[in-house]
Amino acid sequence: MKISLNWLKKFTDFKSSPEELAEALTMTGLEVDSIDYPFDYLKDVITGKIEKITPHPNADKLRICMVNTGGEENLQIVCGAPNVYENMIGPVALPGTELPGGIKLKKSKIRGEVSLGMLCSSKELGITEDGSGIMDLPSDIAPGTPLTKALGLDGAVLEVDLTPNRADCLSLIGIAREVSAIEGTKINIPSSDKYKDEKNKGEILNKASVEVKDQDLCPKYCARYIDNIKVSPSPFWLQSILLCSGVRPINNIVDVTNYIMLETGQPLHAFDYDEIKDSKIIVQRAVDGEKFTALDGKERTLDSEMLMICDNERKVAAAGIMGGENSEITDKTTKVLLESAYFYPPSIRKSAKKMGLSTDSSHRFERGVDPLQVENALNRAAELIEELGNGITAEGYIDTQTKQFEETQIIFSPSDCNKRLGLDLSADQCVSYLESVGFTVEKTDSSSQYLVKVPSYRVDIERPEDLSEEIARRYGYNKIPTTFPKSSAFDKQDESEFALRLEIKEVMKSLGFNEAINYSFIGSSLIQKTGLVGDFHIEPVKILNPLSEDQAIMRTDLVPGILENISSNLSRQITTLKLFETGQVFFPDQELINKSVQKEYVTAAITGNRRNSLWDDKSPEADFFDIKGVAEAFFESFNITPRFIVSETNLPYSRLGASADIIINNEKLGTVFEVSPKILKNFDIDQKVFIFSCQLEAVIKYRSESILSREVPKFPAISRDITIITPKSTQAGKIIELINNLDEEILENIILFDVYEGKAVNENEKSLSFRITYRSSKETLKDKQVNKVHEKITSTLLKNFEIRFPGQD
Amino acid sequence: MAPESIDGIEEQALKAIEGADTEEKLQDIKTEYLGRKGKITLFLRNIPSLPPEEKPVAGKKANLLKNRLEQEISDKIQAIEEAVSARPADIDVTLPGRKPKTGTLHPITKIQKEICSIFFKLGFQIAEGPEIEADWYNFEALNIPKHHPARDMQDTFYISDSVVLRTHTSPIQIRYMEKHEPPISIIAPGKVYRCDSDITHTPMFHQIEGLLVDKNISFGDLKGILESFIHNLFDKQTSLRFRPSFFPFTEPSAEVDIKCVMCRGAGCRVCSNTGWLEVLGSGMVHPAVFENVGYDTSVYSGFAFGMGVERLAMLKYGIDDLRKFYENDYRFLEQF
Repeated sequence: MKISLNWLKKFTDFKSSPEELAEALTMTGLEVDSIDYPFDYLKDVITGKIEKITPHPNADKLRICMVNTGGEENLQIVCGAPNVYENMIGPVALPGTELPGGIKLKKSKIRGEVSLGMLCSSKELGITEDGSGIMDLPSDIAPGTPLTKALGLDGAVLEVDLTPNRADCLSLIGIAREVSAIEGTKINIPSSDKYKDEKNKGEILNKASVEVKDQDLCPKYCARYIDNIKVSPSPFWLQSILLCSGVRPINNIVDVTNYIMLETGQPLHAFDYDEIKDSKIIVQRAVDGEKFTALDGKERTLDSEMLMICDNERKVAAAGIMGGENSEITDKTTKVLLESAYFYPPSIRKSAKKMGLSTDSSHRFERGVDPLQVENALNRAAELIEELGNGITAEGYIDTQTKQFEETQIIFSPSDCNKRLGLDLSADQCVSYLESVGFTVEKTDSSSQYLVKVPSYRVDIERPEDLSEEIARRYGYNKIPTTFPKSSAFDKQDESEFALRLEIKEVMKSLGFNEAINYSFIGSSLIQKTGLVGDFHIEPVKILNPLSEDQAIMRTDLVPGILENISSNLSRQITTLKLFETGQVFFPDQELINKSVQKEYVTAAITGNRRNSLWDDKSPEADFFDIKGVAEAFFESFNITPRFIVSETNLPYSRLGASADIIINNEKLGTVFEVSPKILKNFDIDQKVFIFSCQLEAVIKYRSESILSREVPKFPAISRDITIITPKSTQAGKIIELINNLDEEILENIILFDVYEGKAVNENEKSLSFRITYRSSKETLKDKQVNKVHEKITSTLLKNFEIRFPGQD
Repeated sequence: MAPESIDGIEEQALKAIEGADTEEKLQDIKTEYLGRKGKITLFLRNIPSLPPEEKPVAGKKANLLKNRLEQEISDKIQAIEEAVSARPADIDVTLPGRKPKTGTLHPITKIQKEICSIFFKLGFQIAEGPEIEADWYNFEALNIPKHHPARDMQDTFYISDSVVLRTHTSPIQIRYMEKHEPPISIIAPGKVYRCDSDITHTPMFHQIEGLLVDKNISFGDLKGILESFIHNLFDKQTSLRFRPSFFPFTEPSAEVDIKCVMCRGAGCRVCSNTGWLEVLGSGMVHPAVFENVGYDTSVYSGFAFGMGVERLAMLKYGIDDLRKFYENDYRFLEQF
């Protein structure tokens, strides 16, 4: 909302500077975004009086004007506009002035005649769209006056960013009320004395009728009739006020309705009376599928929830939102039917949303206008139209209201208010703060309670707590003493998983990974790139109103985002990457639509080198066992020992044969895999990528924090190596598992220390070398004891696997 | 073979010791003379075969020599050891070290962690909630009815008519209060979503919400907690300013500005020359919210506050562009 301070002064005579006023308004809840001087760029343009006009000797369409700009000598200015006349006052831009559009004026010769400046049209000065001729200013303006001063365009304009509760401040009067409370100045609210007692009587009853069929959406509709209208541009003073308020002047009728709306907050609408069929206004809901073309020229389809203003045949306005094309004020209009009404706020909001229309009018109606201002605004507008000599108002106005608007009354307790704010104000102080912003306060039978009557324009005030804000606002938030709460809530235990999630992130960090955060929504093209199609398609949660196709679907997997991150970093020539992300993925819940399933994952990827190469140490490329090691270390830090098994089903994006499922307690809770080359190609990635992904649930469910310390070994260990030759397809993991499962007391551990494929074995074979460490916690082992167990291991291996020993065929 | 004379041995041995320049050579000399088959050992072993009159002298001489050589050799070894340890090592210490590489936390995680730990120390517990949220929790229970202009304050992504991507972390308040009786004190971090994307808005961002409900909680208490928080996050010189504002779920409501941490209030680009930064929304919990979760408004009062995490991270780490948070450029991530 733009507030012209020149105009505001007419309502209350504040003394503060614009900066002081802006600060004070901001600190009482009306945030001032900026202080502007919108026409400051015209500061060098002055007024001039055309003393004499002579023809240009060398051009038929040009004339030479001698212009008095308040200096000692008149300036010669060549002018081509048709509307100049002697004694006319117009704006003069002198050499050196820069006009909108970047033209800098220079002293020049036009067709051989010197021109010492330029007489300007409103359009040339960037004020209005009117470029038909030189601005013809009122004759009482002295030559040499700065134009902005002459037109009242010189004042500061405050841009106030209003919160949606302060409907009352969508008007100059509302802002003036706040300012008068801040400054302690009187407030002058203009009202129409001339017409106020003419409700439902007089000439109007012969001119028009109004029938409200849907009273629930329109409890009050008032109308007046004005004839002998001459539609023309408004006077400069009116245009100036509109311009400073950011409203485009149109014509004297529409401008008056806008002016009164800005002044009172009450939107008005002017119909061309001759276009209202049978002079009858009907206020009713539309019928589904009906069409309506508003002033913006667009046709919209209506539904039965939208309130429309109709005549006997057609729709003439979308109630409270925008008038119709069919009944708008034109240059030919001579009679006007003026509307001022109160519409039910949610209805206006719903309709405006559906129509995709937000206007100054709908903005005010949906927040709630002052019901007691409806008639005054109508009468003020009629009065002003008459004052400007643009029409004659018929006696009387129509008012359909049948039920009084209820006044909000609140029982107010100063002590409750003090308790809520942490203050110790006296009852008198509270009362005087409330009264300063228009509340009426009465005593009740109880000495500790007051009856507060809420003024009709404060539609946001409903409860005692709302009054506490009014008092705090006036007292000053920053004067309220700062205290520290005493609460037993502070002794409670934290039960959330936040700390664990953080721990998971810290573990990934310690393993050398950098954390990424991606948007939770992705596009279907990314899903396709990742191969989540066909048999792998997962029905996602979709956003009804996405910002773009790339952000239309809630992710079902973190892998697509991570692959995209790798791709974009590779394109920046960063080729060794360790990235991880933790986050929610989303699935629709078939039964409970409000409860989509959300699962949290941690996903990590390695690509490029295993580690950073150094001057004496060229790092090898990372491979599957790097990511598997990360997974192992990850689980180890939570005391979880998962099993890694060959994946039973392949993921759409994992490479065949290079994928292992992570099994904890017979539950598959994660995978480690190499990304399939086909998918990498879709992402323009030309190096291998390895991924570890697991559900956070795995850690939450199976982590163990209890640690039982074991005895440090006292007796020496004996180790034996064993090398076996076996077909390539034999899983080393199964061999280790089997040996461990023998549960031999003296078997301390088993390490696979070499894997060999090559000339020394057959083509389809590999050799595996294990080092088995034996130790007893009770005694120094003897060879005999070790041999017994070692032989048992050997024979078990022979029994269960297809193996031979080196030297055997 | 006749044994060498003791004097000859002495001469030889001392010469050899003098000429030896490594510990190894000295050990060899030691073996040559004093070892099991060493020259002095052999000489001593030969003494019984000497004429009786020569025995005492030869024995004494040989033993003296043995002691002397042992001393000479050990002195020389020590001298060499000292010389070796005094010699500078032959490496270029300016070569880069082999640095174990740890990763980084995302700046959002990092500041979330810091903020939550401050509130944790103040006695708050952490609460969380779903990101896909029912309209009831996101709006209606928070006193934002359908068709109310307050809905315009948050551009909403819809999943269906009654399901949204949560636009703020405030629904966590409702969910928590539904399950717990007062007194409660929670801090609720999380991702939130708004249908808005430009240089100062990303469609997904992070908020942290706080809520305290108990008997006799006042607006002054709200100021106390927030002041303590800001002083912990920045420093004690960072003053706060409370401005009346509007949130449907608090009454009174306040915007909280802090003295610009970049220019200390002098005015700069970051604070648009106002000297103040808007960082928090807050207020006393609206009675309608308590009614919606069945708390007795005549007994309990409370305050709530919420803050944008990205904004605080930008201030704290000097990040100038919001979009950097979600580009996941490795060179950006590595800095935290």
